[in-house]
Amino acid sequence: MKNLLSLTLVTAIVFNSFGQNKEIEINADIKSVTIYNSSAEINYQKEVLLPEGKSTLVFTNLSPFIVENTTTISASEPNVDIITVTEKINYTKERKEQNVKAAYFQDSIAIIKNEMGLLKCKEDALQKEKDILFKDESIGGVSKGVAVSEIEKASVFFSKRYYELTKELFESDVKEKMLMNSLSRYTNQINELSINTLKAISEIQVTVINPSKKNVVFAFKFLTTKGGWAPVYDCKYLGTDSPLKFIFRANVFNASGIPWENVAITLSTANPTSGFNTPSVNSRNNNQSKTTKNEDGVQFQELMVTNAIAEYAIKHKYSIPSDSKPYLIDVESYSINASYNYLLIPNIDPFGFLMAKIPDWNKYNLIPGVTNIYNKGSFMGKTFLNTYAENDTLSLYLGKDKNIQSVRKEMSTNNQQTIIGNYYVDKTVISLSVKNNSPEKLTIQVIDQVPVFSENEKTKFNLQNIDFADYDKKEGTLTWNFALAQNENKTLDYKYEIKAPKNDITDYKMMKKKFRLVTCPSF
Amino acid sequence: MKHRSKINNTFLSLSAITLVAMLLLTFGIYSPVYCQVYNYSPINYRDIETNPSIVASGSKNNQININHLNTFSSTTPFSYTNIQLSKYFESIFSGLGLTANNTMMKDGIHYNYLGLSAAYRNVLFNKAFIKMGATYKLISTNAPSGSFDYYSFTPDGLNRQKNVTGNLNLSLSVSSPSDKYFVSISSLNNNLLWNKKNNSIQFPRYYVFHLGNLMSLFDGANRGSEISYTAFSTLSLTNNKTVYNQAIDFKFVLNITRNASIRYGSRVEYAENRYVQCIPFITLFKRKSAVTFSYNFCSKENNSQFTPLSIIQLSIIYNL
Repeated sequence: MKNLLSLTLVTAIVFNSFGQNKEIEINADIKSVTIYNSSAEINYQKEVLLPEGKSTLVFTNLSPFIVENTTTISASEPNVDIITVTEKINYTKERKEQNVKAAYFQDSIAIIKNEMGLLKCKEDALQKEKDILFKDESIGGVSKGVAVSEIEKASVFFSKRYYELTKELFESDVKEKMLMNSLSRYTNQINELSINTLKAISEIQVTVINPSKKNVVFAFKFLTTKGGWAPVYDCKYLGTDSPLKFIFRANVFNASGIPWENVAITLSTANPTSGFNTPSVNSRNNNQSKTTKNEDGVQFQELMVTNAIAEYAIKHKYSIPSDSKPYLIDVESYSINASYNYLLIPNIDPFGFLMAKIPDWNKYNLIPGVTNIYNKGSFMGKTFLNTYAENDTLSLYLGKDKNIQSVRKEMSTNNQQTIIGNYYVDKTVISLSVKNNSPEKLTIQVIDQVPVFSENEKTKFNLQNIDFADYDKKEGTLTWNFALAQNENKTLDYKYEIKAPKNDITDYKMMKKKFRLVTCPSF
Repeated sequence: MKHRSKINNTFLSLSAITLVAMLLLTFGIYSPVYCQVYNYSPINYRDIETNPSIVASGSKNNQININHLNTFSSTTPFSYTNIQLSKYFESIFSGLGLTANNTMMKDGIHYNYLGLSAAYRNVLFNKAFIKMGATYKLISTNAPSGSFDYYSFTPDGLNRQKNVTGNLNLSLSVSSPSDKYFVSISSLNNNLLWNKKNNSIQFPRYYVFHLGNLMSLFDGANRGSEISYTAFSTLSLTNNKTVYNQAIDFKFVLNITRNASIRYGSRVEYAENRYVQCIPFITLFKRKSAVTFSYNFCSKENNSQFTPLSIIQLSIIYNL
């Protein structure tokens, strides 16, 4: 009987030991991050000494903003069976604070608040004493008399105590103000650091069955919407004989709650958060949208980009704190051959705009972004670069040059006061003068506008003396291309005549000219 | 309210004048005037033949006008059919008109013509249209020798003959762009230099003056209502006297729907300083077309004897 009981007990222990689910908590390291424009895929990797049998691995200290159903996990050993993978939020476990500065400021705030509490207690006590002592100011009451010596003593006492109480209250008040000031500064600093105050963390529980004890490398990844990037370009013009230096940088932000420390970064223009819908081909449209939104203190805007997805592997490793702030990282640098000329639109601006024309532009497959323009080392301004060029040649404006000047004079005459005539005639003479004050010979392009009338309109438009200009009837633009030597001046004169029939004299008014808009860079 | 009442007063007074004139004619208090070559189809500012300058009016771009008058009488047969086509060429500020006419009188006397009108307009002081027009008529007659006199055809021979001749109507008008206000003068039946004078068949020369719209004297804000004045003179070939005629046209508008209206009124004419003639009319006017019915109270003179002659007129205008 005793032997039977012992056998049962041993069997139970053995079976229990085989069936026991061993839970192993692991702090995995971020190996790399693939950052999309408005999301990020965080890749973890960790070697774990896996015991034999069934065990549950709890990967902890993960971002609380995991997009559902985006977690994938793999083991280096094919014999290890991954049975289940679950994600959960752990509210009881405090997230490891990574930002020392933030911790310092938070501690300081706690100390100040404590001091302010004590100060408040002291003030209350002093105020109470003051109220009690000076509630009835008649010494000895009003019913019986008091000796003069007693009055003198009491007077000294009250005077001294009143001063002390008032002084202490004043000092408390001053100190309180100082503490309030410090509290405000620390609070603002905390806000500036944009520390995610969420204390919750995510955990991924993975149940595995391992046939034998060994080291297994687990790699898992998930998607979070609390990350993203936007391109920033630097365009550097070094001279007409030099190629254009184009530096592609990216502003990366991390608001995932977990800092990315010394991680490999890949930037992608894909949109993995768009779901699992069947992909469809949309018409290519490169117009930038105006829709914007603000999340986690990060301003988003929607851009239309080409369907082709580009990925940029960043050479160096970067650390990106989880503070929603943009961190600039270098992506790529291009040396691009370009042709240069100066664009003059005298009707809008008398000065020349340096313009670069970049052929084969679309091969770079960039997405639109803010571009900093540098002209021979000088920062000229920012412009929004629309990176898709319809004819594969990008026209990029590199800034205004006051050495290239133009003067536009317009003289109009009309015969509105005629005695007899079927037409209202408006004659306009335009005189354009362009001067090159720069020390080198330059290629100049001058664009001017004339009214636009369709062929079937009754108003007749007659353009004269345009010389070598290209006339675009549809757009109403006249374009001259020529070279201008140092200090050379060129005059471009032309005239046009508008004849409008007088069909309805009762509503007859001076004919209005029709103009089209010409795009001009905004620096 | 005051404005409407003013229009109503004007309308009532003018309607009363018309009615009185019609009654006088009906009861023979005044001797009715005869029909004449140009007068059975009233001379008016908008008639292409008598005022060819109208084809250069932008408001008459492409129009077809069919006009038929008939006495429906076996004793005094008379029929008149006139088809007019007009087109305005905006790019050259000119218009063209084509008129085909067939007139039949008693005893099978025929008067036919084919008229080609042309006009050009220009703008005066950026305010008014000035229009010049001409109509050349190629006339074919089948009648004894004589003259198409002041009121009717007067034969001076017995043998019927066919004649072909031609003459020219000229006009000059100054108007507002929509022809609401106008002054016009015309000279009709001018002999051409290259046409030999045909002594066997003759036409008197007419001078016509139009003035409109006088309704603005009563109320400038009227909507479509018109009063216009027409004067014309001619030299009678029978007695070599110049006679004068004056007429006032009244037209009132009654809107039925947004696109349809009824226009009614009358011409009251004082002819030869002797006779009063009245031609009331009613027009159903739609956006692109108009149908007019009128009744002409007049009579035919024969050896100083007046034979009552009532002419019914049907006119159709369609804007192409």
